Amino acid sequence: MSRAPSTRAWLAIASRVAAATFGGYAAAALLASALAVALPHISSASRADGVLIASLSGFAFHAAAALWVFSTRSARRAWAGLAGVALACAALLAAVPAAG
Amino acid sequence: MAPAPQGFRQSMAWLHTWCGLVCGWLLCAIFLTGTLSVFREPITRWMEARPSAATVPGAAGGASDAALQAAAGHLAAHGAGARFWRIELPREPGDALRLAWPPAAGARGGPQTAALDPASGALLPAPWGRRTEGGRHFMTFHYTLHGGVPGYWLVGWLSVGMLVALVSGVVVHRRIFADFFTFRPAKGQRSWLDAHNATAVLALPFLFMIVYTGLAIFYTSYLPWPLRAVYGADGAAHGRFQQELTHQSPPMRRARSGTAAPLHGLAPLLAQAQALTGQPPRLVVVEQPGDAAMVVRIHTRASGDPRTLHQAVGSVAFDGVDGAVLQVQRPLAGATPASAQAHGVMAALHLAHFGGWTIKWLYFFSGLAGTAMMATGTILFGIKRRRKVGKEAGPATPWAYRAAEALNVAALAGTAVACIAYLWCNRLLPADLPGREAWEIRGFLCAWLAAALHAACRPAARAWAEQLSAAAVLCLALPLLNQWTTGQQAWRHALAGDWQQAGVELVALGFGVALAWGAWQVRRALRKGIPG
Repeated sequence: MSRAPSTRAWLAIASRVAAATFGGYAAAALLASALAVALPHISSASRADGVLIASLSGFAFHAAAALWVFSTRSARRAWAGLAGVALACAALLAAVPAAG
Repeated sequence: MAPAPQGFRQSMAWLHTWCGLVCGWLLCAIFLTGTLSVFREPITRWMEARPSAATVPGAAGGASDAALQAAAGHLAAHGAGARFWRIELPREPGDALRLAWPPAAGARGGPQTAALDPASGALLPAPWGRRTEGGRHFMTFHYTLHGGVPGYWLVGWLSVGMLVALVSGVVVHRRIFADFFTFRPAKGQRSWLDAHNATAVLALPFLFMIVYTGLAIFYTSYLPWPLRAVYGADGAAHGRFQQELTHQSPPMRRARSGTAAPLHGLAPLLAQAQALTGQPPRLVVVEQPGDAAMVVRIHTRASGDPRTLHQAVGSVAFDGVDGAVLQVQRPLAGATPASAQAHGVMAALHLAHFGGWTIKWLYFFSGLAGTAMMATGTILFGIKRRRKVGKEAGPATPWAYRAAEALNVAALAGTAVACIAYLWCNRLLPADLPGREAWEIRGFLCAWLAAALHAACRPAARAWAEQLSAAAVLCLALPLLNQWTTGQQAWRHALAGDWQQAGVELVALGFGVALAWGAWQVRRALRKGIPG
């Protein structure tokens, strides 16, 4: 607590804050979008129900992402994890057509 | 700010401290104004300070035929060419019939208003009461900080920050249930920690619910991406989504025809709307007034069944010339599928639109507990740091601690000063001052700014004592101010059965006593030289 932090440590913290706020939001938005598109295919939910369920879960996804960003070992791992989730969801969005 | 330490619990403790501190200042103000918003309608009634108008029992909508005809006549004479006319029906006994219409196309200025006696239809003197944002100001500040779209997004980010602080707080306080029963008063830092834990655990379910439903109310704005992924990004996507969700067609619109026509009598339409929806009418909107294509849309009020959480309200659209029913939006719960009610239930949970006054008081006290939880948390940060001089921010550390303490004062005592100063502005600004509602809000913001500057200039403990005392004096003197400016007295309201207006002053007195006690504690600690 009483050590003076180095510039490096400051940068690591700034990087995590950015990852939690913006990276976390982007990953949560993509995950919720993928869920909204997927739900009508994998359950009896209608298109509208899927959007409702996925959007309401999205806030929990963002909070969970932010918590994870600060509990993982390094800022680099945090960014990598978020990017992994985001890419997987983007691929799913590209592959699965929205239910008509 | 030490680097994030290793280990799950330590990293959560670090996150709880810093996320809680950074988000906590504005969240305190958001929480306190949100708590006051529970009583926004009584606050608005008190601030408008309208004299009492006659009461019309029995009539649908609470206004006589003659009054409704007079309303239509007044609007036709003064509001010709307006896009719409609005007639707000009396809500409580003593309310006037209130008319509003936008200025004609090309003309400048805000909406035009008039008030009519609901029995005789006679024009009441203008301004009828004080023009004010009233309790809505607290609600607008609560979700936008009066900062428009950026403020709205900032409140959204802070809400997610609060979710993060709550979860990490639960992880940190492993002995959460035992801690609730631990209170060690007058032990400095330990007492603050115990108070923080007790208020947090007491209000924890409420806090999770209120922050989550607060985000959920605006789910299609804060998180529009799922909707866009499924329905596309065009302007009509939201309408298609709503229609599929609720199975109700959107409100019908008609284009102006260009031929003039007279308005159908309103009284039979009000009675018909009540019969069709089973709810009392609340508001009449005439679209395209004076035109052959005009539509009279009558909105109804939830009837207040205490057994249901979500009460949809209905509306009926009539042809404005021949009175034919064009569209009925029924409020019946069985008519809408369960998922369509999810959003309404979330909104009702957040806005305390259920359960009557008991639930409103419960929300009020839970909100105060939540505010106290954040307040004790940010104060605890300062007290811990005052004991051991750290170097968390390098050479800037003393400056950073000083700034944190000043912000604590401004966020807590300063918000309290600003809220009560707002009520003082309402009574001190002349009733006929143009744009007075905006000046009241400027008064609120100026008081807040002044409190922040004062906190930055004075030593922390003195700033606490002085601001708490100022807020206490303003709260305790509010009934005197009201007597002096409007001649109204709380005990007369109470005797007349108007507990809403009486309640505003009684709650202000309660706040005054609590704030005075707080100020006295700080002064006592100052005299004894006890830190914190």
